[in-house]
Amino acid sequence: MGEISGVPTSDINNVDGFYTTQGGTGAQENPIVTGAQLYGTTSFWMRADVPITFARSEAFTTVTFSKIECSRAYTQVMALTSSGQLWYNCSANSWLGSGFTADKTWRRYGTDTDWTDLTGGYQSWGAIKGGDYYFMGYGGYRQRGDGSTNSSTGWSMVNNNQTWTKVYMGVRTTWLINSSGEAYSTGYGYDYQTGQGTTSTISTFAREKNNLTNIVDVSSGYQCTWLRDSSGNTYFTGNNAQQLAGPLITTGSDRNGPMPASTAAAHYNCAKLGSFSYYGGCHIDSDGYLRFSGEASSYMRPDNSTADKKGSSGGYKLTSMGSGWTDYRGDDKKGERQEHNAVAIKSGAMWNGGEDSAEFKGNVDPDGSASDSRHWIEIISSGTNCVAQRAGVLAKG
Amino acid sequence: MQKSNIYRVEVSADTDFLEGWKDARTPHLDYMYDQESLAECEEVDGVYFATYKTWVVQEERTVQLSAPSGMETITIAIGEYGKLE
Repeated sequence: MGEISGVPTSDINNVDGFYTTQGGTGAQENPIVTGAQLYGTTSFWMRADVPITFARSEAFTTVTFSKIECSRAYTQVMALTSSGQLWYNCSANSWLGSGFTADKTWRRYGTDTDWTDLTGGYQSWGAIKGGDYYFMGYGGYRQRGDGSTNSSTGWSMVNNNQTWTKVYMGVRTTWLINSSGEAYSTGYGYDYQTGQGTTSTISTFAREKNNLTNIVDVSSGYQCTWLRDSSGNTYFTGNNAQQLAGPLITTGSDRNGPMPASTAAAHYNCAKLGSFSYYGGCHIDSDGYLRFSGEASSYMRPDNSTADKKGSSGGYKLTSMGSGWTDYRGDDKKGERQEHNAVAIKSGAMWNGGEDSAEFKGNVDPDGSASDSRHWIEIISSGTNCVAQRAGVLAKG
Repeated sequence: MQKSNIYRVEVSADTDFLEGWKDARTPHLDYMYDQESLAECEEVDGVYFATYKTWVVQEERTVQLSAPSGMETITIAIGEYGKLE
């Protein structure tokens, strides 16, 4: 295993706090090599589904991004460059404040070059800048983590007492990882999703109750959270009604974790966590294969199989889909059970599938029927590089 | 293992369901109603009732907080927290 700055390349997300593009088939964090374009409808290009008029929108830039995120509520997209610049593109300025221009063109935010991570929440944004945690948006969901419920219009630095390297917003939760690989959470405690040993609401960042170490990644699903350590082991806490936690967790009851969900030694070396819908989803192993867990009848499996992989069968390797997967993001924009579709990136190509309402990607389903359009297919052909937060929003090199 | 108790209390149109309340012994927590609006509450003869859960700690715990004022370590003794008087 190679290393960069002393960090194994399988943990490439954690190198000096920057996301780094690398070759090979290992998992990567949203690499783009030659600029970016946003695609979608002209009216609503951030939907979780792929719209009928799926085509290049007016949003276009030649800037190369290392990570792109979108709001779960508004027509707002933000992105980072590998040199620490923050860019944005939005048509709604809710909570953004005067520092943003909502004209659906890509613009750079300020002149600072120390933005190192970014996450889009539901009516909120989080970022790491200079090792500090910045928040913007609605504060009632306790995602600020400073004990208050104050909303913030424009970026507000809310925690600088540790050196933070990563931020992730789930539904009404925020997780921070510090430079020592420790994970802290705040937010609503539904089903133990904050990993604090309580279902009560956390309003001040507290370290997860099991004091895990070497944590480098965090993702979420319906009222649940995964953590990943630098050795490729995963941990789970929260709702497991669909038994999607991972092969080490076989019960469908809420898990008061974080507790081991898979290990590199016994199952697979997890190189990147995916985000899940209520029914299931995929993580990505160090060979670039998708590892599916959960209910398959809702077509969360990109190989279109309807065979469930729950409990001890979780983490199932989708061998037929090949390697080269770098991103899998299930739709869980505001924590509703009917959100069950996802986007994924393979060798720069964007894939989309899952089950949704009648308008769901009827144009791109092989049989052309909107009423049963559930199949996973490649949307944007390979040979290019895409990043995506959800279907309908992607940047393409 | 029991981790919470559920209580039922009267609420009204003036109730702020998102505000919650504090227990000084667990300063990092906000205790909140299970419902988020009056419409979600049980109505009995024009009186509305909400439910909430307390946190029952069965073994002493140490919690590391990253607060704006700095790092804090608090110890939470065995007991029930967040109960409205």
